[in-house]
Formats: sequence, structure tokens, C-alpha cells
Amino acid sequence: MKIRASTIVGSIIMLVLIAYVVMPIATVFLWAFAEKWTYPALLPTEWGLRYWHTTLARADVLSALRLSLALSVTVTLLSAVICLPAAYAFARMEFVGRRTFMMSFLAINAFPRFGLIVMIATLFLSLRLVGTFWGIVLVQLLNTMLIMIWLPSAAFRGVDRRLEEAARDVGAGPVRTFIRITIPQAAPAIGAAMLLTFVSTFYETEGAWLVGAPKLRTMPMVMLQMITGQIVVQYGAVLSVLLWVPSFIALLFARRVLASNQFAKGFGA
Amino acid sequence: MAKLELKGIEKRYGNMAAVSDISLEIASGELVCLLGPSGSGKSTLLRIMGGFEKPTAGSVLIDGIDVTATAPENRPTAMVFQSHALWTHMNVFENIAFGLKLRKMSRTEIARKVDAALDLVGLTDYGKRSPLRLSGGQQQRVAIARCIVLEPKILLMDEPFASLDQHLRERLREEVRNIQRELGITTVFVTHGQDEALAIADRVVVMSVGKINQVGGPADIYAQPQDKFVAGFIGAMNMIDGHVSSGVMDAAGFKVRVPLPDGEATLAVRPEKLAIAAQGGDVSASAKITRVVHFGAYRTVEATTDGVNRVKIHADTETVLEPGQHIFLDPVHFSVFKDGHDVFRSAAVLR
Repeated sequence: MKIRASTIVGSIIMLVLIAYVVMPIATVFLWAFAEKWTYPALLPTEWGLRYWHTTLARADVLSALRLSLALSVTVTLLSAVICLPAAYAFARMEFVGRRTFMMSFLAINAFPRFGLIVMIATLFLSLRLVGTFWGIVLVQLLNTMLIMIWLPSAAFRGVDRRLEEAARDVGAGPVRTFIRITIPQAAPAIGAAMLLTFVSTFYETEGAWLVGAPKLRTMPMVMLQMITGQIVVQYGAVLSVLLWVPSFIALLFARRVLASNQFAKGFGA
Repeated sequence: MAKLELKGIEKRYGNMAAVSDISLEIASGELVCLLGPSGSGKSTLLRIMGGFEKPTAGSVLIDGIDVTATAPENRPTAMVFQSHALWTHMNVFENIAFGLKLRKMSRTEIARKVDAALDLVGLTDYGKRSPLRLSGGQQQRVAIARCIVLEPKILLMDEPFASLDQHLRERLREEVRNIQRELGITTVFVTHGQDEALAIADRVVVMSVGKINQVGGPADIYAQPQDKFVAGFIGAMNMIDGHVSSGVMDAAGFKVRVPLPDGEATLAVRPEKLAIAAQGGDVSASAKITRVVHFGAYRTVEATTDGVNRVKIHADTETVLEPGQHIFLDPVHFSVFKDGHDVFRSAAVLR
């Protein structure tokens, strides 16, 4: 059997990529379950869940986890309530400048986030929103708009109008039709968008830090502090693995939707 | 059971009129077909009846009550869509029960009605299935059940069988006809298939370019088309241009006596109204066979009368007919159109 040069080159590139992407993650994973790992050993010398217990028992971790979950749930639900009807309007209603409006969302997202948030934080300072739960909610809500409007809008466009008309026909009003027919029909994309929103809010640092700190500290902020300020590597590793789980689930779920052509449709294609 | 009236309906999109000047009365319990090619405005008209489009002018009345401004959910109409439009996130039972639940019926009442509707369309015990696991024909039956379970006054069907194969289409058509008769429900049925319209309808409304060309029973529409469009659209028709002088029309070899002023006109003869003869008569045209096609029960013969005009003739399967053979053709029954309108119709057999 003859092996082509391109196959060999391709294989080498892939191996390098795998090493580059997988190695750091594997190291973090190993550290999370390692109790002792001294230099010459290739693998940890002592395995165990001790650091999981101690990490999860820390008061700052627990309160941060509670705050992060409360924030993520609030922001995701609020975002859904605000953005889904807007997404539907973009999908169904024809108005002048619809495309431009959709593209402007992209433009806003391309704007340097940090600068924008500093501006907002200054504004919040005078509104006495700095250091409050709802202050963080407001600033994080801004970040979710793009994905919560764009993705569902594409999905709504994919819903056959006849399905809605059939519902109207048997006696459902416009609102009931939207809730009982349109949303369930677009459920996979909406689910993916909500998961992505949840996860991105969970990991969001800039807004939470500028508006919330030092009074309120979210999970990523605690993690950051543990990684940079502690000698024990395991705390950071455990938290990383812990925080990796939701985003991994979200990505698995979103992959199906993003792979379909619904995402492309969001661009008005 | 309800009467449906359309008065001076017009629907414009910008400058383009999708339908215009439509007035129509549909009697209680009647099955009326809207028949026309795509772009004739028949679906727009149906959607106006269902409340999905607002007419630019005119009014829709059901049992004498003006519903022009009434939303679909408040109209006593039910629509069967071409795409079936079943809600895939619900099972068959839930699809049919959805409208009943909105009407705040008790659970037992809903179950009883849904089961009865499923029985009626021949889908007993299919309630728990997902619509995605049904065939196209079964999906359309569910769509029909979803409508009739609500006991609407008017049933609207928008090319309901267009996506089904010929065999299934014919069967469902019979079933719909039976259900419609049994329930006595006023029905408007949109189709672009003339055989479908002729087979199912009490009355056929032939439409083209947003206007009604002719309204009549299937037999009338076929035998007495009022204009050239209807004549050409319903069934096969030989249209031969010719001219009239001193009461005799000459059209590619056919010479027929017509009480018309001199000028251009078109002779229209159905393929089954052309008789093949071995000997020529007064009105006969001599013709040369170019093609013979067998259809089992009959044959169609294509021939040219003057070397240019082609005509189609239905022939039995016994007579010897072969390409190249010379024959004579007698128009047994014919119409003459002038400026697109029917101006003369031969009364009886001419020979």
C-alpha cells in the first residue's frame, strides 16, 4: 500500500493540534483528581477526591456558586422574555431596514466589550446600581442579546407559517399560537440559545467584575483568584473541571443546531 | 350548514390585483371547487374566506353575517392546508384535541369527539402516534379530522391532495366527498386539477388571472365553456383558427355553417366529438394521420388537416388506423369562439 505524502503531513498536523488542544485540558483534569504529583512521575502518584471536598466546602466558593447560578438563571429567563418576541418580530415582520438592524447587532458585538462596560459601569455608579445584583443582571443582559435574538429568529423563520395559521384557524389567538405552536416548533434552537446564554453568563467576568466587585463575586472571579493567588494547583483545577461541565453540555447541544442551516438563515440568507 | 357569500372581493398587492371583482354565493351544504392554473388567485380567494388575508375591497358573509374583519380564530371556518400543517410536537390525538381544549370542553367530551373524528377518517387507534410517523395520506386525514371535529360551518380545503400520488388522491377525494355529504358541511375546495374538480364538485368556479371565468356544474363547464380559456383549460379541446364568410366558417379544411357575421373566429371541437369517416361529407375535413397512441380503452389519433393544424381525435380500438393514412373528420359537436367568447354552439349532430 502506498501512503501519500499529503496523508503523512496531514497526520502530523493533526497530532500537533491534538497535543496542543488536548494536553492542557488533560493536565487540568489530572490535577483535579491528583493528591500528590511530583516532578518525575508522568501521572499523579496519589489519586483522590480530597481537593473536591475542600474546594466545595469553602464558604467563598459556595456563595459565589450560589450567586453565579442565581445570576445566570435570572439573566437567561429575562433575556428569553425580552428577546424571543423580538426575535419573532425580526423573523416574521417585514419592515424597512430589517437586515440593517440585524447586522447592527453584529456590529455592537464587535465593539470592544471592555470599553462599553466601563461606560456602563460609570453610568451605573450614578444610578447606584454598582455592587447590586440587578446591576450585574442588567450589564450581562446586554451580552446575551445577540445570541438570544439571532438564533431563535433564524429558527422562527424555519417554522412553517401554515402551522401558525392552522392554530389560528382552530381558535387560538396570536399570543397563544406563539406560545403553544411557534416556540415548541423552534424549541431546539431556543434551547441551544438559552443554554449558550446561561453558560456565557456563568463565565462572564468583565461586567460582573466592573459592576459587582468587590461586594459581589461570581464563580469565575473566585476561580481566577484561586488560580493566580494560590500555591495549591488543585483548587483551580477542581473548579475548572467543575465549570467545564455546563459549557460542555451546552456545546454538545448547540452543535446540532449550529450545524444545521438555521444559523446561516439568521444572516438573512 | 351555512351559506357563504362573497361580494365584490378585490385583493391588491401594491399595483397588482391578485383577485378582483369576485362575487359568489355558495349554498348551504354545497361543495364548490375553485379551479384554475397557478396564479389565478384561487388560493388567495380561499385565504380571504378563512380570514388569513384581508380583502382590499368587498365583503365576506357567512349566514348573512359580515365576517370581513373577523380574525381566523373567530370565524366559523376550518381550513385544510396543502402541506397538512400538522403540529409535529404533538401526537395525533393532541393535534385534533387542540381546538377543542381551547373551547374549554371536559376531558371526556374531548376524548369522545376526537375518537369519533378519527373513526370518521379511518384512523381509529392512531391517536398516540406522532404525525411524523404517518404517511402523506394519513397526515392529510388527520388534518381533515382536526377541522371537522370542531364542526365548522364552512370547510375550506387548499389543494389538499396535491402532494399525494394519483391513486391515493382519487381515494381520498371519494372519502372527502362522502364525509362532506354525511355531515352536510358547506365546502370550498381549491384545486388546479380539472379532473379533481369535475369529479368532486357540485359546482365549479373556473378562475384565471384573478377573475371568475365561469361558474357551473361539472357537466355544464365541460360541455358549454363560455370562453376560450375555460374551453382550453377543462379537458382537451381542438382549437382551430379560421374565418367566416357568408355564413360558412372555414377552419383548416372544416367547413361548417354558422349564423355569424364575416370575420376571424376559432372553431373548438373536443377530441371525442370528432368522428372518423372513410367518405367525406359536406362539413368534413380530409386529414392525414401522424400518430396513434393506445390508452387501453381507447386510442388518441393525431392528424393534420391542412398540413399545419394538428387535431386530436378519440377513436375506438377496432378500426384500422395507421400513421400516413388518409381519413375524413366530421365535427359532431362544436363551438365557435370570437374575441375569446363563445358565440355559437352547434345544437345537435350535424350529419
